[in-house]
Amino acid sequence: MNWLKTTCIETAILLAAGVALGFGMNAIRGRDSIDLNRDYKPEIRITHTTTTQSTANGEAISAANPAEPNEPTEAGVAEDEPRFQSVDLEQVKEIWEDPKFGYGVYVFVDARADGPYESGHIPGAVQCDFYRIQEDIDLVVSKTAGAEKVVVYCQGGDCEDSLLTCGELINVGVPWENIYLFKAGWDAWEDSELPVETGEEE
Amino acid sequence: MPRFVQMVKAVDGTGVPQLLARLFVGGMFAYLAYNKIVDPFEFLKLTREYQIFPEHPPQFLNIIAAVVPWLEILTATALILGVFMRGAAAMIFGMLMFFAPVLLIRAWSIYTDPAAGITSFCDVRFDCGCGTGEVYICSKMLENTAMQLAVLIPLFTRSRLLCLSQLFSKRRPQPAPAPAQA
Repeated sequence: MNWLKTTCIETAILLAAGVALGFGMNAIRGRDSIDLNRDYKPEIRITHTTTTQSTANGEAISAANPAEPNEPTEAGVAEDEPRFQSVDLEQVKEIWEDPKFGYGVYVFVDARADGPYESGHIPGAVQCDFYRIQEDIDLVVSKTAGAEKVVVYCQGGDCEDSLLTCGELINVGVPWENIYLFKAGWDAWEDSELPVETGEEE
Repeated sequence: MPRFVQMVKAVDGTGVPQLLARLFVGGMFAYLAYNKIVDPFEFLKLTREYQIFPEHPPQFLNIIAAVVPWLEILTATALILGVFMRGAAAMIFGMLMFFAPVLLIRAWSIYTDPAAGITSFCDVRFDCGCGTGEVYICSKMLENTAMQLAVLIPLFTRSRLLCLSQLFSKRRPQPAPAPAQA
């Protein structure tokens, strides 16, 4: 009985101390603090008006039906994923090589966390980690203001950070028709042995 | 008393088994917790993937991701140092008991997904959010079982070898009585 009582008391003390420690550390972690009230998987609402887009050499970029966001497909099943215009590696490469990129007319947004971004990103890409967006958003807003094309990417594969970041860009006023989702992401860029920039954002 | 029980008591009395178990389980738990603490948002994403916790209100998942790794590291530290040893062992045992079926359910959902194209259950490999990246389910379950069994030792032992709590124990050794004056 004494064993059980001791164990229960000790467990309760550790539980209370652990919870307090968790809340306390989360409050003082700065960039790595989780905003307890924020929805980190928000429903993305997109409003858009045009479909016709092209790359630098006039090649058409695949654009989803922009009539209504998340409307049922032909099969009558609502799509889970909000639809953004997507670009493939070749198109991304063209955009990156276009002089307009150098002038800030085209912008690349890297939606990954600090570690992956610093170990390698598309040269000139501005970081906008959806989860730490309060730190990055001012810079991204200033860079994307007036940009004609904003290409957003994350790691590639199943990563959804670029999609969430696209939603956030819309929330801060970037028009849907200017946003392009590079779904193949960093993995595809890196595999193609294209130029890579490392380190923190300048 | 059966000879086996006597032998177990004798081995336990040395304090070595509980010390090794504390270092093994506490060390593992602290390492796994540290990896979660380093990137709390990655842990949040992986926790969400289990789909066993409600996504709304979002505070629920956020609090889990913010608190659980710190709770784990505190418990692991307590176990290693031998402070509230039984409580720490009980809590780690409880957490492992909770994680085991959760891991199995997630692995099963991957295994039964035709798109995954997996023929053997042990070939299921995924990032379980445990802090070690992608793992094979069978090796992960073996690791969990080993920790579960090991943590039972500090939970039930009477030994307090190299436990910090002994320093603060009320039951200090009594000084030897002074020799009688002639």
